[in-house]
Formats: sequence, C-alpha cells, structure tokens
Amino acid sequence: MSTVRFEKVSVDYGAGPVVSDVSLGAIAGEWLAIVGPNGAGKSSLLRTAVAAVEFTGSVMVDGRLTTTLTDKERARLVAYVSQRPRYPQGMAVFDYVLLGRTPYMGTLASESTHDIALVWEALSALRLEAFASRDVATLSGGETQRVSLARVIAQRAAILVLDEATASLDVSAQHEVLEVIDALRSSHNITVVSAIHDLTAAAQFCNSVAIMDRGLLVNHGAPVDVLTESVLQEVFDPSIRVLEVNGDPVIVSLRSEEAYQ
Amino acid sequence: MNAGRPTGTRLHWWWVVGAAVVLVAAIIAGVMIGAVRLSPSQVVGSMLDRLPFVDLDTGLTVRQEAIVWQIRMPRVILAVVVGSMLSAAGAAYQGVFRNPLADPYLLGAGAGAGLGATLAIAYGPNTGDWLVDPIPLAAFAGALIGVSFAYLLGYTVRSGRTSVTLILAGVAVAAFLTALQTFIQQRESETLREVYGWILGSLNTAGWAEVRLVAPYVVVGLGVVFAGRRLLDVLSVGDTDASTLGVRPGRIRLVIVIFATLGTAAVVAVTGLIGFVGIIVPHTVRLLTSASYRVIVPLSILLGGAFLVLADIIARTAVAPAEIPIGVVTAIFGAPFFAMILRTSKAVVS
Repeated sequence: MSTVRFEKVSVDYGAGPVVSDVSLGAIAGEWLAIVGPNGAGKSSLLRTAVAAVEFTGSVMVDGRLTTTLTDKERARLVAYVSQRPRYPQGMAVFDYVLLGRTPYMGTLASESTHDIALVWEALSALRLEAFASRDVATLSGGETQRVSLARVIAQRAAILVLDEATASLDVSAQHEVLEVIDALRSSHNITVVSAIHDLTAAAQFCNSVAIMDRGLLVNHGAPVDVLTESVLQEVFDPSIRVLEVNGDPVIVSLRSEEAYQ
Repeated sequence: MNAGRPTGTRLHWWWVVGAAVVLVAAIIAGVMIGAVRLSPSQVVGSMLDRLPFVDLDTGLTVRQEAIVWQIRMPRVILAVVVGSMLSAAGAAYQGVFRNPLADPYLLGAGAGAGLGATLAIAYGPNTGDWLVDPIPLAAFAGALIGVSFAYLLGYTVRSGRTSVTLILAGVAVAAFLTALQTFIQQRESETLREVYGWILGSLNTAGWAEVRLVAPYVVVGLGVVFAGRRLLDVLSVGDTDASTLGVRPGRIRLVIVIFATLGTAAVVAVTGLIGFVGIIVPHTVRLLTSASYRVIVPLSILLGGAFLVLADIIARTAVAPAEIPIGVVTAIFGAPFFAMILRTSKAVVS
C-alpha cells in the first residue's frame, strides 16, 4: 500500500507563498492529476514530495513522514520526472536508465547483475530495447519521455511524481505516453501524482483531479465532479466550455464572439 | 539471461591496457631522450633491475645509472603525477560543474597560487636560507585560499546556490587575485623574470624530493575523484534530478572540489601553472571513447600522465640546452592535436 499525503503544505521562495496550506492525498494505485493555470503552484507542491524545495507542513509517503527518511530511502519510495529533464550528450539510453538504480547502490559501489536485469525490464516495459545503445540526447521528444519513464520504473518506486511529463509532446505522442503511464500504474500498482495542462487528458486518464489556483487548493475529487464549467471558468478563463464525448468531459476554450467580428 | 545485450558503458579492458601501454612507452621515451642518449633496452633493463628479485646486467655505466635514476626518472615521474592530477581534476571539475570549459584553475586555484608565489618571490626573504622553500608553500596556500574564497562567495549568494553561481564566484575571485598579482609583479619588476618563469610552469627543478612532496596529495586527490566517477554521471542529469535519486549534489560537489583542488594546489606549488592539460586530456578521452565519467576519469589519469611526459620531452629538447616552459608546449602542441581530434570525431561536446 503506497499512499502519498500532503498535509498543510506551504512553499515560500521568499516573495510570498506559492503554495498555501494545501492538504491532499492519493491512495495506492490512484492517478491524481493536479491542474491549474501557470504559476498556480503545481510544480512547487510536487517538488515537496521529493524534498527538492523547502516547505512547511508535512508530506507522508507510505505512512511515513518524508523528513524522517534518508535521501536514499525516500528515493526508493518516490520517483520524479521534472518538466524538462536534462539528457546529457553522449550518454547511452541504458546508462541513463541505470541512473534509476542509484538509490540502491552504495556510494562507491557499481551496478550488480540484478540492477542490469531491472534496467532491461524497464527498457522492455517501455519498448526501448532497440534504443539501449543510442545517445539519449539524439532522441525525439516522445522517445526521451519514455526513457525518463524507464528510469523511474528502474527506480522501483511505488509513487511516481510527474511534472508536466507530456507538455512538450504532440497530441499522439502525448496520448501514447499517458497510455504507457496508465499501463505501468496498473501493472506495477504505482501511485501517480502528476501536474498536467491538458484538462481533457486529465479527465480521461486520472482517477481524481485537484485544481490549484494562486497557491490554493480550489477543488479536489473525481474528474466529472471537479472539472465543471463553472469552476474552470472561474479558475482559468470565462471562455472555457465543457463538452461531453462518450461520457467523458472534453474541455475546450472558445474564442469569444466579438473576436470573430 | 541478458546474453548478448549491451549492458551499458563499460571501461573496456583494452582501453585500460592501451592507455597503460601509452603511459609506459612515454615513460621509457622520457628517460631515454636527452643530451646523453640511451637505448630502450638499457632503460627497460635498468627499470627491471630495480624490481625486487630481479638482478640484470644492464651494461650501464655508473654515470648512466645516475642520469637515469637521479636526473631523468624523478622528472618523468613528476610529469606523470602532475599530468594525471591535472587531467583528473579537469574531468572532475567538468563533471561537478556540468561545464565542458571547466579546468582545475576555474575556481581561483591558479590565480591564488600565482599570487602566493609572486608574494614569496617579491617579498620573501632569501629563499636559500629557509629550511623549506617558501615559494611552493605560498603557492599551495594561495591556491587553497583562492578556492575557499570562491566557494564562500558562491555559497552565500542570496539568489540560490547553483553550480553557475559558484563558477561566477570563481571568475570574480580569479580576476581579483590576478589583478593583485599583476600589481605586485609590476611594482617589483626586478623579480618579473622569476615570477613569469614560475607562472609558465616547469619541471626543471624536479628531484625525488618534489615527487615525495606532492605524492600524498595527488594519491588522495586521484583516489577521491576516481571513487566519485559514477556520482559524476549522476550529477550530469542536473541537481534536482540527482537529488531525487537519493544523492546530495551540493555535498558531492564540495567533496570532489576539495580533493581535486588539494591535489591541484600541490602540483601547482611545485611546477607552476601548466595550462590546458585539464581540458585537453579529458575531452580527448571523451571524444575517443565515451561521455561517461566511469570511463573518462581512469583513462584521463593514465593518459594525462603520458601527455605531460611527452610535452616535457619537447620542452627540454626542442631548443636544447635551453628549455621551453612546459605550459607553452602543452598549448602549442596540445591545441592543434585537440583541434584534429575535434574535427575527426563524430561525438559532439555538449
């Protein structure tokens, strides 16, 4: 059972709070989407889960306070993919995925055959075997996202924190990556917490959605309950419309009528 | 189970053997070449003769023995030690700062050593009276003080401690110390020649005493950089990602910089500022083999030693009996060689 729970979490970089008193949780195997306009505090909230920012309040993973865990213990529980990961020039895909095994290695140790086997498992889960020797810096956007996911799968963390993992992808590549995440979530029983811009995708893929605005948690619940026109119009823009296709909400932004004239 | 599948970047044994062969060949050449010519078999014989349980008749005269063991060998070994240290420190700095232009002098070690040496030369009492030569001592202290300043400055910046603020702090400290050094050098112009000679670097004074002096620092410095080679790969994904993998980038950076600087300060104190080695050797290794520090660090240690031995052969023979400063040789021969590697290599430096 791997759950993640944010309790009264606040983040302040020195110029006023960017996250204020947010309490929010996800249960094991759940996919929680965090949506909101740019600057809403989504990334900062996610970064508290991996201790990448200073914050007040508490974050519990698996029932344990992250502040009581060592860096390695935390890294074995929570894996993280940043908005724009750095893919070092000249590094082979295999080596990049192998970095996911870092929390399991002693400071001076090198990888075991077990580590290597897990890297191959991760590569095969993301259909990347043929790319193993390729330079990670020469791959396309969709391929590098899969490589990042392979790295966090090799990390064997039960909680996956994704910061806009698909923001830079075209529609089909984004869809493919989200499907991969969903498959990994069910096959490995992983809890996913992801910031996501595409509200329609959030509605289709995620079990629950939390809306943030200016550092505050506005609403949290099942996608159909939370992603309503009135809430979204208030948080994002009055031009937002929520349509429905096959029972799922489809969220679009319409150009105002005056603009056509 | 994974037979035949690639298992990631490996330090292949043939790379290590190749680099070791180059190093040994360079050492033999370094001992052979000079005003008194010796043959490779004489040199190898004399070296084997020194091994325990080996007793060879090398056919060398007592004078030739003395040339090999009292004059040439300490100089060659010092070149190996200095070249290894500067190359490994360069690789380490490039790794912790994720900057291909980083070299061991980046954070002010060179400028600090220069200022220390200049102060000792200009204002020091007659160095002959001292029990220990104050110039290397002052250079060593200057290098450590320079880097400490840069680190303190970089880590007290309010806008956040990143590797970039540290580099900028290093640039500021280096500029300041160099300005002080230049000022003193201009005021005390009668010592100009000595200061200048020191700054350009030389292995001219090398004896076993110098080798013994730097060896402990270099062994520790190389040991730490070598041990940290896998962590340098982890740092290459950026500080945030590295920290989510359970390591502390700031701490790794501090430890590696401390020990790389300690080794660099020690070799600079004895030989002066030998430039370019810390950039050219790691990048040549990178372009020819792999971008992984697990490969770059060990091969840079071996090939950095070989490179400086070869550079020193040119420095002391090209215009014999005079010597060219070795820092000039590393740049004059190193730069075109590096340009050639850069042009013919498929890999690109990020």
